[in-house]
Amino acid sequence: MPQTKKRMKGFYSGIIVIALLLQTGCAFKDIDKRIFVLGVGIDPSEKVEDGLRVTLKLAKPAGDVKQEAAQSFSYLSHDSDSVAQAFYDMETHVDKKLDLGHNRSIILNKELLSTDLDEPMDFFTRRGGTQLIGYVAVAEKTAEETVTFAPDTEPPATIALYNFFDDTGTESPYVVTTFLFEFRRQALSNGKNTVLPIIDFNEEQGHFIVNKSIVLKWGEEPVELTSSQTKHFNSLMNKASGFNYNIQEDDLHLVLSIDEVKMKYKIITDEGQTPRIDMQITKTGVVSESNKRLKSSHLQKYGEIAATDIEKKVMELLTMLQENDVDPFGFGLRYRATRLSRKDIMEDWKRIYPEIEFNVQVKVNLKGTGIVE
Amino acid sequence: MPETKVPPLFNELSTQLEPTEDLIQTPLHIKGQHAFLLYVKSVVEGDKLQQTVIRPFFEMASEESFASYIQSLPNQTKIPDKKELLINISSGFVLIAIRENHFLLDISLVSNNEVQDTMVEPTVHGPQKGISEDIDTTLNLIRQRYRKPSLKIETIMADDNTNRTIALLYDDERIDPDMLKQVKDRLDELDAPLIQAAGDLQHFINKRKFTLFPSTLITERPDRIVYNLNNGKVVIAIDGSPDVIIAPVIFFDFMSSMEDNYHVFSVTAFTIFLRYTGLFICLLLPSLYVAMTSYNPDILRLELALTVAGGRIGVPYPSFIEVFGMLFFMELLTEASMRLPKAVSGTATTVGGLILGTAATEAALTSTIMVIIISAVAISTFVIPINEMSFAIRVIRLFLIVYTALFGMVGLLVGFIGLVMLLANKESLGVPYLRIPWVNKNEELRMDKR
Amino acid sequence: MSRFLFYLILINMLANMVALTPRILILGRDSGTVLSLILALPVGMAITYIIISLFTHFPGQGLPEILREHTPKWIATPILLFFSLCWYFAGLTILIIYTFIIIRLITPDMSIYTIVLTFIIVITYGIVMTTRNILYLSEVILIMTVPFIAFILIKGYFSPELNWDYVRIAAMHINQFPSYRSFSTLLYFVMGAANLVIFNRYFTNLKKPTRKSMVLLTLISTFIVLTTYFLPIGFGGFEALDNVLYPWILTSDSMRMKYGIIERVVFVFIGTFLALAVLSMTIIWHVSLQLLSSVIHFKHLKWRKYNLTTPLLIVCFWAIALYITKKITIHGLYKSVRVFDDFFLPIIVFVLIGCLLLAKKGAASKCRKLKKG
Repeated sequence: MPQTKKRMKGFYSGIIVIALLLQTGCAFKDIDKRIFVLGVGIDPSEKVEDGLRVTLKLAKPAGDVKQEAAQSFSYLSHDSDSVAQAFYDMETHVDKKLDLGHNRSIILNKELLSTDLDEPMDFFTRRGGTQLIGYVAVAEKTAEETVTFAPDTEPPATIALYNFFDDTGTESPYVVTTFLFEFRRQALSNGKNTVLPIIDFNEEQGHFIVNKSIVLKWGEEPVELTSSQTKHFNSLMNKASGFNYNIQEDDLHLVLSIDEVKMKYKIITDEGQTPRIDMQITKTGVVSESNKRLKSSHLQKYGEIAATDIEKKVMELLTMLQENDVDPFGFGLRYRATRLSRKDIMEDWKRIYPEIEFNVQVKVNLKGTGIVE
Repeated sequence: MPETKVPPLFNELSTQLEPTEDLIQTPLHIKGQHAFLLYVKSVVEGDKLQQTVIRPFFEMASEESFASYIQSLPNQTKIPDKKELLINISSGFVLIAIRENHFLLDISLVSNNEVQDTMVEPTVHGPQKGISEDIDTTLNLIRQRYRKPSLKIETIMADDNTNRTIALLYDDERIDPDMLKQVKDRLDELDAPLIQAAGDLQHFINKRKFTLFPSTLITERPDRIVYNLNNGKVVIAIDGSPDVIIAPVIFFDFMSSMEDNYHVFSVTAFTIFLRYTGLFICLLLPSLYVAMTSYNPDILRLELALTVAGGRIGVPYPSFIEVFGMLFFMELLTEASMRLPKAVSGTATTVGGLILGTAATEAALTSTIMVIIISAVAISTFVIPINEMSFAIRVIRLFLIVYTALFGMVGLLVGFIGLVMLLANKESLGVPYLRIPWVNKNEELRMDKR
Repeated sequence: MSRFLFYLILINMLANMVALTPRILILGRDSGTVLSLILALPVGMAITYIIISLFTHFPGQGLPEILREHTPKWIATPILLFFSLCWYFAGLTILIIYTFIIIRLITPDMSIYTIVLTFIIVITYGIVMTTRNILYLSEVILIMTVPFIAFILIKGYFSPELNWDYVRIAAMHINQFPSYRSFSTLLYFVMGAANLVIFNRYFTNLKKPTRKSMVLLTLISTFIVLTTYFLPIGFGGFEALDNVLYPWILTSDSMRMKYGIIERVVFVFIGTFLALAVLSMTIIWHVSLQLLSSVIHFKHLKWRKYNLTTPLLIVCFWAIALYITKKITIHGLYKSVRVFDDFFLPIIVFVLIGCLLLAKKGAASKCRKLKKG
C-alpha cells in the first residue's frame, strides 16, 4: 500500500512541478528589478483640487557602496486625488517595481493635520507589505522639501531621518518617535491624542532639526508643542533619557543631566470632590555644569530647587494641554482602563477632563556633582 | 610398504579447483604414517603450516597421536559441505586427511591486517587508530575494547560472488531481539552479485533504491563502534573493508562526533551548536538568497538590501540561476579536490576558489554577496561530522532551491517542513529516523513495545 | 499524560492563534469575550479530561475501531462520515486563512493556485505518513518553533510600545454577559484532544491525565488564550482593531528587533506559524482521511494490485480545497467558521463523548458476559 501512495504521489507531484515550471515567474522579481521607496511625503496639491501631492524618495542601488562619494537618491512627485492613485500613477514613471516594503518614514504636511487624515493614512495600513514600524512625522516646511532634503552627514546607503527615530543613532529627549501602528491605534481609539515630531531643516548648514512636536486633534487644528514642552513631555511619557535641565536660582546656574525618569499618576474621581490627577515624578541624575563651586552636602538642596522648577514647567504643560482639550498622555485611556466598562464612559471623561485638577509632585535625586565639586 | 591411496575427497576437490598454479596437494609419509594436505599456496601462511602441521607430523609417534594433535589445534574447524569446503580452501584453509579422517585448519595468510589511521573522521582527542581491512583484526580490536561476555559475534558467509565473511556484532543484553532478527533476515535475503565494502553492503541492507538520506551509519572509529554496541545497536563488519556498518541509526547520530564525549560540557555544547548552525546554513542559505533577492527583499535590513541590489547590478541571470551556477562550480571543486592526489588538490582549491570567485564578481557574473554565501555554504557543509550526511545535504539543498525558486519565501519554509517530513517518515530498521533520544519515550508509543 | 497528546493540544492552539480565533474574539470585545474566556477555559479543560479518560478504556483503538466493535454499522457510518467532514473543514479553514495571509503579506503577486500548490505537495506527503511518524514530526517541529514563539511573545510583553492601558480597558469589559460565539470559538481553540479519534491508535498505554499534567496544561492554555486575545489589543488599540482582519499579523508587525538580523519581527512570526499551520493541517487532514477511508473503500478501484481509494480521496480533498480557496471571500470564511464553531462543535463534542460512553458500557457488558460464559 505505501508503494502505491508513493507512486501516485510521484505522478501527481511530477505533473504539478511541470505545470509550475511553465508558469513560474509570476511573482519572481529580482532585487535589481525593484526600486525601494525610503520615504513618502504628502502635501496638499496645488494642481488638483482637494488632491494630494505625493513625493517619494527612492534608493538607487550603487555598485560599490564604499566607493560611492555622495548619496544616491532620486525623487518622484505626483499630484493626484489620493495617495493610492498617486502611487499607482508613479509606477508608470519608473522602469522598476516600486517596493514600499522598506519605507520607514511618512512625512505629512502641517496643513493636512487639520483635515481628515483617515484617507491618506489608510493606504499605508490597509495595504499589506508596508511596515507598521515606520515613523510618522510632520514637516515644518513642505513635506516635499523635507523628503528631498539631503543633509551633509548622510553617507551612502543610510537614511539620516531613520537614525533620528530608531533609537540606534541619536537619542535625544527632544525627538518624539511615533510609529505607524501607534498612530493608527491612537487615531482609531478614544482617549489619547497622537504626538508627532516636527522635522525642520537648515539648508545653509545642511542639517535636519527635530526638536518640536505637535499634538493631533482629529479633524481639528493641532496643538504645537515648543521644544521645551516636547522635552518635558517626552521625558515623562517615554522615559527618554539624556534629559538636560537648566536651573537659574539667584546667581546660581546649574545644568542637570537626568538619566532616569519615573512617572506615575492616578486619576481620582471621588464623590463630592473635584476630580484630580495625582502625578508623582522622580528624576535621578547628576550636575553636569555649574557657574559656582558646588558642595556635595548640598545636593539635596539643589535637587529641591530643581524639583520646584520642574514642577512648575510640568504644570504649565499639563494646563496648556488641558486648555486646548488634547490628551497626549492618555489620561482618558487610563480613566477607561481603571473603571468597569459602560457605554457612556468616554462622554463622562470628556466632561471631567476640562475641569480636572493636577497635583504634581516632583522629586529630583541628585547622585553627585559630576567628577568635580 | 603399502602405498596409501589419495583420499577420494582430495581428488574430487582438486579436479574442481584445477587448473590453478598455486594449488598444492602433498602427501606426507614417514614410517608407514600417512597424511595428505590440500591447500592453495598463495593464501596460506607457509611458516605456520610448517610449524604447526608438517614438523609435528614427523615428530609424532603414530598417526593416532598426530590426528589428536591436529584435533586440538585452536584453528581447527568442522568440515562443512563440499561447496563451502571449496570456498574455505580458496580462502586459506588447509585440508588434512589422516586415514579416513579429514581435518580443516585455518592457516590463512592475511597481508592487509595493519590497523589504519582514522582518515574520514579524525578527532583531536580520542583514539587515533581506526580498524583494519582484515575482519579478524577488526574483531580483535573491538573485542579488546569491549570486554563483555555478552558481546556476540556471528559470522555469515556472504552469498555473493566473492564469498566474503560478514560478521554481525551485538551486545546480547542490550539489543532488541526483534531488531536483531530483522537485521539477520535482511542479511540472509542478501542477493547481490558483488559486495566490496561496507558502503555497498549498506545499500543492499536498506533495500530501498531511492533514498535521500543514509539509514545506516558507516564508521571507521572503534570508539564509535563500542559506543553504539553499548547502546544496543548492531554492528556489521565485512572482510576487506576498513569501515563497519552501524544500524539502526537516527538522524542525530549523524550529527554527533565522538569527540563530543571527550570535551568538557561547555566546549561540547558550543561545538554541537556550531554543527547545527552549520547544518542549517548549508541547507538554507542558498535558498534564502533566492527567496530574499527575488521574492521578499523587505525581509532584509535596508542597508543589506541596498548592498545586495547594488551587487547585482549587471548580473545577467536571475538569482536562482546564479545560485545554481555558483553551487555547481563549488561542488565541482569539492569533488575535484577529493579525487585528486593530495599534492595537486591544494592548487585546485586555490585556483578554483579564490581566483574564480574574484574573477566572477569582477566580470559581473555573480554578485559579491553570492560569493560570500557560496563560501559560507561550502565551509559549513564540512562541519557535519559524518560524511554521508553532508553528501546527502548537498543533494537536498538543490531540491530546496528549486522549491524556493518556484514558490518564494513560503516555498522555502514549506519545502523545509517537507524535508523534515521526509526525515520523520524514514525508518532505520523499524526505528523512526527523527526520534529525539529522550528518556522514557519507548513507554509511550506502541511501536516500541511491539 | 503522554507528551504527544500534549503536542496535539498545543499545536491546535498555536495554529489557531494566528488564524480566525483572535479576530472572532476581538469582534466580541464589548459583548462578553472576557467572561467567555474565563468560562471556556475550565469547560474546555474538563472536556479534554473527559475525552482523554474515555479513550483510556480503548487502548490502541481509534474511533472507527471502537465503533465497529460496539455499535451497529448504520450508526457508525454516518458518525464517522460526519466527523471526517468536520475535520476536513477544520483543516480547510487553516489552509484558506494562511493562503490569504500569504497573498496579502508575503507574495502579493502570486496567484492563489500557486500558493495552494506550494502546500499540496508537502501536505499530501504529510497526510499519508503513518500516524506514529506524524507524532514524531510534530515533536521536531515544535522543538524548532517554540523558541521563536517564546521569543516573540516575550519580546511583545516587554516591548515599551505595548500599552497596558488598552489591555486593561479590554479586561474591564468583564461586566458583560458572556457571548456564546466567543465561548464556542475558544472551545474549538482548546479542543486538540479530539484528534485522539485517530491518534489513539498509537497510544496503547494512555493513562488518565494526572493532576500535575492537567495543571500544566491548564496553565499553558490559559497563557496562550490570554495572549491571543490581549496582546493584539495592547498593540493595536481597543477600538482600532475593529477592522483588522489578522490582528496577530498587525501585532507582530508592531514589534521590531532593533539589532536583529531581521528587523521586522513579522517575518519571523509568519515563518514560525506557517510551519505550525502546515503541521496542524497535516494532523487534521490525516485524521479526516483516516476516518473517511474507514468508511469509504472501493474494492474494485484498482491499478495493478494497488487499491486507489486513498489517492482518489486525496485528489478530491485538494480539488475541493482549490475550488473553495479560489471562490471564498474572507467574509464568507468568517461566517462559515462561526457556523462551524456555533453548531457543529458542540455536536461533535456530544456525539464523541456519547459514543465513547456507549462503547464503554458495551465493552463492560461484554466483559461481564465473557466472565459469566
